[in-house]
Amino acid sequence: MTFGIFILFGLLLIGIPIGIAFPLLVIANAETWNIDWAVLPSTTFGAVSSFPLLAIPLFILAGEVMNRGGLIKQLIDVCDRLLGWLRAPMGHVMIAASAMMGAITGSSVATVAAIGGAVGPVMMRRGYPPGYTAALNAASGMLGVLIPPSIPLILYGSIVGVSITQLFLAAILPGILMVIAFMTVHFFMTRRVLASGHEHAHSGNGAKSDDAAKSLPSILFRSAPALMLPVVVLGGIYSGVFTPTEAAAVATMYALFVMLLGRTGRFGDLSDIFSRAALSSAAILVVIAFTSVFNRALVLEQIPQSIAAFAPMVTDSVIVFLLVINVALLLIGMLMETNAATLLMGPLLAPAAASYGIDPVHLGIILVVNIELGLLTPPMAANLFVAARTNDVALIALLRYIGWFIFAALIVVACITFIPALPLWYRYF
Amino acid sequence: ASAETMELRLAHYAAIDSPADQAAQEFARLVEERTDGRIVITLFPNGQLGGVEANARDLARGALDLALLTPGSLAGLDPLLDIHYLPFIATDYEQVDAIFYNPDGVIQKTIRETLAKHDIETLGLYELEFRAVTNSRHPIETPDDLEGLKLRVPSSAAIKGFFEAAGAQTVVMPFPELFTALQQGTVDGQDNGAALTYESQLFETQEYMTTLKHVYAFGTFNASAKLWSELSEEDKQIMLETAQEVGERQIQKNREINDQYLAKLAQAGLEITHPNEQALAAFFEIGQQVWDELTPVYGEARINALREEVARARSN
Amino acid sequence: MEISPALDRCLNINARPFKFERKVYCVEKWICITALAVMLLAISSNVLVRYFNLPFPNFSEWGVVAMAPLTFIGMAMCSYTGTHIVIDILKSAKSHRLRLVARFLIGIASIIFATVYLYYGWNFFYDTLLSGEKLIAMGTPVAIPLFFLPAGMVLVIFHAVLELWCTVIDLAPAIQEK
Ligand code: NA
Ligand code: NA
Repeated sequence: MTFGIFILFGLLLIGIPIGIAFPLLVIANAETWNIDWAVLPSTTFGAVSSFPLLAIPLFILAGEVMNRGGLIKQLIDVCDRLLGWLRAPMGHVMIAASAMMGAITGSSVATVAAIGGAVGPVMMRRGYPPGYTAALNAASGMLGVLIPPSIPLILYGSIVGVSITQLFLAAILPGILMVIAFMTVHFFMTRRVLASGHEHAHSGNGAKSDDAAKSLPSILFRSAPALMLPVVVLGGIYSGVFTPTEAAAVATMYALFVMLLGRTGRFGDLSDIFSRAALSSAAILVVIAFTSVFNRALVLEQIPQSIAAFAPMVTDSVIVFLLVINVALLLIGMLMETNAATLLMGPLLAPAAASYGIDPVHLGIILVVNIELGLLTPPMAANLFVAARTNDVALIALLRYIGWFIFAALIVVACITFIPALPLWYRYF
Repeated sequence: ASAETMELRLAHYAAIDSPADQAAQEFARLVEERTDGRIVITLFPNGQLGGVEANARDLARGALDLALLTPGSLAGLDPLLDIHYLPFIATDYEQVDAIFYNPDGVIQKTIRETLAKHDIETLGLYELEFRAVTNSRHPIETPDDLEGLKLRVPSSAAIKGFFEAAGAQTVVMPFPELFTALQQGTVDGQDNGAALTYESQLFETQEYMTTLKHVYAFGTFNASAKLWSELSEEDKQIMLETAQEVGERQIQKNREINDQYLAKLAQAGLEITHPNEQALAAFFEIGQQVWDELTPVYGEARINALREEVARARSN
Repeated sequence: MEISPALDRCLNINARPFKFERKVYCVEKWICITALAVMLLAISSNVLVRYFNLPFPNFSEWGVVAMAPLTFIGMAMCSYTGTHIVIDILKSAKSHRLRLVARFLIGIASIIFATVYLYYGWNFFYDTLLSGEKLIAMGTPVAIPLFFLPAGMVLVIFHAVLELWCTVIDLAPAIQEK
């Protein structure tokens, strides 16, 4: 397996698409791993023929419609008005807007694409290096999952049998902590990445200068359509009108109505909106579909299972156990696609964690945050790839900056792991 | 291990350490023992290699060696496979044993032959449970209580047809979505048995349970036809006998713990209703409509034979 | 939308196969747009049907079916537009020749990958067609979504072959220069 991983890095480095490199590795090693080639198409097909995964293309579509219909701009205006007094505000706006988008969407990748497409160009015009812009975009994309609703938490809740409402509540404080952590990193990084330590004046962003002068109530009023969207999505889920997967379709419909009624877009724009969304969805679905055969190889080789079995064996101490599962999940998150990793590791770790007296809701948050962090760690790092694509930056340029955000996220992971009251705050009311 | 060691993979959907998983573990252990280590079986529980449909496809194509299947969820592969979901085939364990666990009975023959047609060999049977109805609205004592209730049903024409005939609004929904849907009130109820309702935490979202026993569900030990053609007669015999033996033991154990699940559910605050004779007769009547409707799907001869078996089991 | 090197060459080269490739891409695009629209409508209508207890079946099955064309035909689309998710370290490489060699290797790798998937994917599709396996809620034959797997692979191979041809045309002068 180790040798195989080296070949994989080799393939990836010459620029072979992720969705081709992973299955090629399996094709080449089928003999050693005792995998019948006939299983390739059925595994691939099974990986994407899944109802919960429908939410990914639909949330990407929602983001695309929100962008065209001006809803993303409304979110940004609100953030800008609230955070404009800070030094280097656009970076903070990127983080805050991602958090707001997180309250609408359940997918990290959809958040990266939607917010990166809107805030990225503004940041670069104001003097941020493209690599830094993309890194910040990729990191803040994690908020798409940390702030409820969240696809991986739904998957964890349904496979382990834990209340999804509780999981969503439990994700709120960790999500806010992550916002603070990223804003702190941005605060310290600006002196390095901005030539003068300050953003350029608001050149090239005409709308911005008008807005800055407007009063907060008038901006809130004008942005009401966008601010209502989280209410519709979360309200609909909590009142049982639709399931979290269906929320993606409802959000898209809402954004379409706002766009067509408000005449911010026309009916004729639809084919363009859909084709953009289809192209970004396809890119991500290809990765999910075809890396699934590598996931299967890992499972057949018993690698994640051994890691899960190893964790409770090494120690009697809860603290060491938690530490070990954190490391294990980070490793899994590096190699496996997020949703697949959640579905696999949840049932493997839940019984052991229960024997240590760890609450299943607490475990769910630890598991999902760790695996989500995998979205920032190559080779399987969807957020980085999508951020690089959205901001039109080479991955290398982005990698220079991402380390600090991963470091900050790790501190948050440590906090939520060892302070159970952070995720379980709602039990105290 | 010598060069002749066969390393086989057994996949299933059931949770680790559930009765079905325990049976799979025992099967693997005994087969290895009885073949003196010639056959080593690795388990992949909890859907690690995909759901029941995916496992069945892989078995059929020879890409997987062994699996535990639930034929009731394979009606897409072949409409005959959920014949045992017809309402009220059996209403107690005595009838179940006479109808379901009779190797020459209509049910077993239909399932074995149909799976074999799709290159899946059936080695033995094990028990799931009698299905019940739970909901968050009100106790269900008579068919009238089902009127207007939003009920999640599995994708089976028989179960769906039964609840619709009784006046419920049925919603077909994948099992992984069910917990959230019940919790948020997207649907009011569902129709799994006590064990699954307890183990999948569905009871957290429900207030009332009726032990309707409208359907008895079982699972099967299966091998791919490809593997089967490669095994020696001796090893085939060992596998068949072991599956049979493990299945019987699982059925016995499963029945012992079934009452415990009902007790646990009651303890968790569910109000449990056992419908009376009169109500059962009314439910039974509705069930018969579904038999009539679905006769063309399963074939008249088969249905008539099954009706006879049911009548015989009842009169005993 | 960012114009990729692959798209670029197809705009510049007017040979017949490349014109044809552009038409094929248009068809792929419309298949994916339709798939996305089907998903949106199927899932939204499902919410309405359940909420108002309308006498319609569960359309969400079509949403799941539409995942297959979006993924597999979408893959061909990504190959053509160069929007696959990659670790693009060589994109910034200085040497033109190095980049061409990488493109050549990627083309070969894509063809090997897609050929294996085409063969086994076709078998899988054909077996499902014979067994008549259906999805349960609406009875959609599983062969319908599965058809898009081999179909997508044929298109991936088609784009990869034209890409190889291009690379060879570009590479030959680059080698002679030295
Ligand atoms: Na979210
Ligand atoms: Na990763």
